[in-house]
Amino acid sequence: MIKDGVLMLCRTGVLSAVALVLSIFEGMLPDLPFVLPGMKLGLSNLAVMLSLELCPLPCALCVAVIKALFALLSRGVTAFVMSLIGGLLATIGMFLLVRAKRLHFGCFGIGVFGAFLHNCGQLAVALVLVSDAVYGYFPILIVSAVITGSVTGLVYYLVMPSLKKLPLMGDNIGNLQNL
Amino acid sequence: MTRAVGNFKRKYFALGDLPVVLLVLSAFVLGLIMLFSGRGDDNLVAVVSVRGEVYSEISLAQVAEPYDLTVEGDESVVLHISSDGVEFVSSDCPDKLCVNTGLLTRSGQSAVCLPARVSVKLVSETGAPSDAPDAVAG
Repeated sequence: MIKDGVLMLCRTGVLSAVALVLSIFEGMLPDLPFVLPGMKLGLSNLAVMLSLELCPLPCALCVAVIKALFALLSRGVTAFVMSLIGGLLATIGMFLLVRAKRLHFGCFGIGVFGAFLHNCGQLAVALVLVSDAVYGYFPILIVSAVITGSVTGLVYYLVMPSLKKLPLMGDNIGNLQNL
Repeated sequence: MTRAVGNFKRKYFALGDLPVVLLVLSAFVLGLIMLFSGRGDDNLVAVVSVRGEVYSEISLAQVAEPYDLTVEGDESVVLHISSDGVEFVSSDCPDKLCVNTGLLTRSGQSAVCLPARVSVKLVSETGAPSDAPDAVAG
């Protein structure tokens, strides 16, 4: 039987890789004409959402940090700080919703809340690093959070059943021994 | 023995989404109020900031001939300044969000180039109604 720690390490690694691939894939998508300035789909948030369901919080935070390091390599220091603060805030916020006992949250709520916190974190960093003029983007960022969050939530909802069949992600990890 | 941590079963919409929607909606309204309050359109001043510090303040009413201003932030950007307003015309950054923002003409509007850490916002020189109190309590 595989130890829990090893399983979580594997999941964190795979989900981090998924986050990076989704980031790259998102960068390859053509710009849509109706897209608001500053709006990004945030597909890599999917990997964070999954890691919250499948791993303890530190693993999910790890995925967020690795995502931010990728932003550092591909888009520079400002993007790194924004991705890091936004990502960590979103991860902690979504963690609270995913593990909430009293109230059950749907994919929509978790996706939108995560996108909202991510954008809030980024805006806070921009306020410090750039200028207080960025608060003008706040309403735009909220609208984009609702749109992108509901999309990532929907993708998550649709992908979940297939993911559960994977030995590494589902409950039935006994199969892993035979790989 | 369940090895997955969460229950990993989730509907698309659930009851908990309601407070999330309310929170996001109220934040949106708050943002709009922040954006549209204190608007006065005469005597616009363009405040150019680099890395969070005010770099220059240009009173648009005193701009006779439109001109281009090159600002060196973390990247180099070019601002076009005229009596009508101010806009980013070019930037060395990859995503050009600042250029796509377009011309700023009203107080409270802003355009930002995050990679360059350069921002421009329009403020009203005299339009701030701070001279006269809205209400006096006590």
